[in-house]
Amino acid sequence: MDAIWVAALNGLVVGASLALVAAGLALLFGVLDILNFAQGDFFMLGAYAVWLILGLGLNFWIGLAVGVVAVGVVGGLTLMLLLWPLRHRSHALMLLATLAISLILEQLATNVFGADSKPVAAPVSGRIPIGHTAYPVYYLLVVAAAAVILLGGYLFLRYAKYGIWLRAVAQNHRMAGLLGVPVVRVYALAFVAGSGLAAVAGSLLAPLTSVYPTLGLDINLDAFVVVIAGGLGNFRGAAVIALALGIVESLGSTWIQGEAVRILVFGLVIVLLIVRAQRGRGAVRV
Amino acid sequence: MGAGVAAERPARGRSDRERRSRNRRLLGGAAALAGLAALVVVPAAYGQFLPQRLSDYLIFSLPALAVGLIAGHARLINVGVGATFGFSAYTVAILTQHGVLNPFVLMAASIGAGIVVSGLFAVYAVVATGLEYLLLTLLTTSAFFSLPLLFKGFAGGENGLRVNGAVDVSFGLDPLTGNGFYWLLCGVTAFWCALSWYLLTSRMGRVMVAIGRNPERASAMGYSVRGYRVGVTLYSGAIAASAGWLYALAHAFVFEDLLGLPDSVNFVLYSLIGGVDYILGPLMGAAGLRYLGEYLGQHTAQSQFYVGIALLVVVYLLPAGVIGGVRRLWELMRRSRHEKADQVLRAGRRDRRLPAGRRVRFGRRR
Amino acid sequence: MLELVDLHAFYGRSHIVQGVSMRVAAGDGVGLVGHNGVGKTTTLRSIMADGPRTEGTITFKGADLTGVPTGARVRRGLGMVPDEEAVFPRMSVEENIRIGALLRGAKMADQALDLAYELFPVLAERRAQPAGTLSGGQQKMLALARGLALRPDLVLVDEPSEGLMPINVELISEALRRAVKAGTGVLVVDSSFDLLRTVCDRVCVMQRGLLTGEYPMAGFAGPDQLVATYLGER
Repeated sequence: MDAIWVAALNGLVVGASLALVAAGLALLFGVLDILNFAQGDFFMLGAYAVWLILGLGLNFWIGLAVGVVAVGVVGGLTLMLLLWPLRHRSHALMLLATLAISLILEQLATNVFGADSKPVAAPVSGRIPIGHTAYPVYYLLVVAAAAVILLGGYLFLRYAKYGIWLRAVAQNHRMAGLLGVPVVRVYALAFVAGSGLAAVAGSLLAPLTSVYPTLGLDINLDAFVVVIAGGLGNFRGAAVIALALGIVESLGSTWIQGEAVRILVFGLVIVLLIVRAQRGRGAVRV
Repeated sequence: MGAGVAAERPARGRSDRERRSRNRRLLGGAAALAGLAALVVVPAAYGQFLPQRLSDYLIFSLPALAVGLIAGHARLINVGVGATFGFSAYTVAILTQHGVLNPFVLMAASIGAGIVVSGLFAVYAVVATGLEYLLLTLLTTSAFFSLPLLFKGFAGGENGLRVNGAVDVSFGLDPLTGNGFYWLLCGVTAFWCALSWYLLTSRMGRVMVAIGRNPERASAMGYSVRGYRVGVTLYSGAIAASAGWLYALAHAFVFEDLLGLPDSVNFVLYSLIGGVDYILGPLMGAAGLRYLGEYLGQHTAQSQFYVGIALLVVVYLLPAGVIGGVRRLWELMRRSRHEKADQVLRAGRRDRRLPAGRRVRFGRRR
Repeated sequence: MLELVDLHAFYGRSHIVQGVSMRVAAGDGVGLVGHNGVGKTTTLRSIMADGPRTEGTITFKGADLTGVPTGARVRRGLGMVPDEEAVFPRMSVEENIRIGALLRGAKMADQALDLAYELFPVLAERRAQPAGTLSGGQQKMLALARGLALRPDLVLVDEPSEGLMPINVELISEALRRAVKAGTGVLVVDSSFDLLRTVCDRVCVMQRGLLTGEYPMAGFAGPDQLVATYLGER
């Protein structure tokens, strides 16, 4: 019985960080109409930032802050610079550019840090009893942090000036420009925030997953699933699906073998996409 | 509304263009034949490990061709070709493990199995496009990767599966010695290239190109866009499946990585960097990138980095792939020899404002 | 206030606007008429730096606009209401109007809303509805309301009456007339004689990328006379 609660909680932890990565992905998708293949690599870089700072003898939270700022600002703006000349050409080219960046980042990480898996100590040890098990406090902290960040992001988008401008640019960037919105600045914000969200997720999850260069790959695919299955541009839907995905996979693996769970989940998503595609299509949809 | 702009095109100009096009095709055909002859004769004469290396390139160029056909003409990025490739390879291995050693049966069964898998992708092509299609293929390929682990007893799990039967399964041709197997590969590759070229230059092929470029208009003209997409997917599935069959024969061993995403993504990269609008593009891309990988693998451990750089070069400078870039260079050089009027006429027609919007456009821009 | 001197505009190698010179002062209502495709919309977009490559001089309030990006031009007091895809579909009507005023502060936003609802009561009825669910005509009214609520010094309006019922054309004309009377400059591209007569003091006729004439609006007794100025020529 306890195993189920623990599994559910674990799923919540994974789902929460997945929601963060997916939120960043959705932001970038909203303004550019592409999926950023390098999102998982920003996640990975955030994790490495924490490991690096800890190695220097500093606080975990400093590492997190450094990671978010460095990856968000530097990574995000670099990404924007690289994609900027392509924005009027095909979307496929931008997709491929992000794929190229992903490959390069993975290789660079392997070169600089080595391919081995590096453990990271959680900043908060201690467990609280849940039923008969002692559950790590840090995991719950991660969920709480993710919730706070996501809520803050939601409020920002809804009420803050730049948040409203961001939504406007995402929906009709030409008209936004004609209304005086500083479109380039808003794009930059989207890039920085999108990358920063991935980085913070990576940093938060580092103690759970350890750090290695291909850390980003799995979460990339899951994040894509969340964003597309949640309905492109639907932030709340994405958050919900992220949590659901985390919990379902975690619960599922207590009963069924790990790989089978993934296949089942993928199968469900595939069916969902097909059904939605059928329903959304009129008679002459090409 | 007064004098229109329709200029009288001189009769001389029209047949001139026809003649140029026919010349170009004859030249292309001659070059292809020469290339094929060289491919067949030279490595066999040279010996050493060259036939084996080229065998590897040939085998991996076929799934790249499959991806290229879908991407270039159905305008869909199918990451799942690797699943078809790996599934066929596994079919060969599993059958031989159960005593089926007849080479013809193995060929038919594995290619058939691959076509069944690509049937799944054909369903996707009917119900989705763009990003959703991409995601469907991504998920499916990831799911396939887990299949051998799930059916450990049957499919060997993490350890992979051997292909039994020695040279009986490959028509008596030994992949490791002699040139027979290499020539088989050349034959299969040439077959697919020739068939694809024939189909593409036929009326049906030109319809497909039109569909790929503007599906809405083609559909309004009465063409069944879905039908053509299904057709392209199944056809290219056959190509990828035959590559899987050949791989199993060549290496006598299959493993789960063949089914996974990284290999699949590689096929996409080969075809994109080579050039999806041309048949030889994916082949060149596969050979070039695999050679690069081997060369770099000996000197550094950085192959992914260089692939990434190559991809960036293509994206920024050569969106139609290397072959596309070469061709554009060729046309630029040729154009400078023609009169200005011709140039201005073509330029005026090609200049159209690009609509701001969400259409996914690929490769060569018209 | 706005002065164009020998404006040329290009899309790629297509030479659309081929040397247009005109002036619009504060409180002027100027119409721009002509066949489809002669370059009227392109002229407007050139003034806003919204796409075409331009040569020639555009001066606004005495300052040369060369090199000034779109957002900055808006902040200086220029505004444009394009003919299509002008609303933010997933935002409510109210949010759409507010966005325009965000630049100037929250109090400005409330005033903007009041003005918009006064001009077009139907928008007040649907204030919470997502703009994408409005009819085409209502979306045009929303776009115009938003553009005017920003209180620009000069507003460029592209085909506001297209696709609208006569009663809504009246509403739009009235709104533009009020803007002109309040001192806003209006440069409007349209083909509705009633609208032009209500809003404009004069009309510029454009043919094949050039202005071929400028006429006082009062000189036209009916739509046929206006159309005759740009028909039947070579």
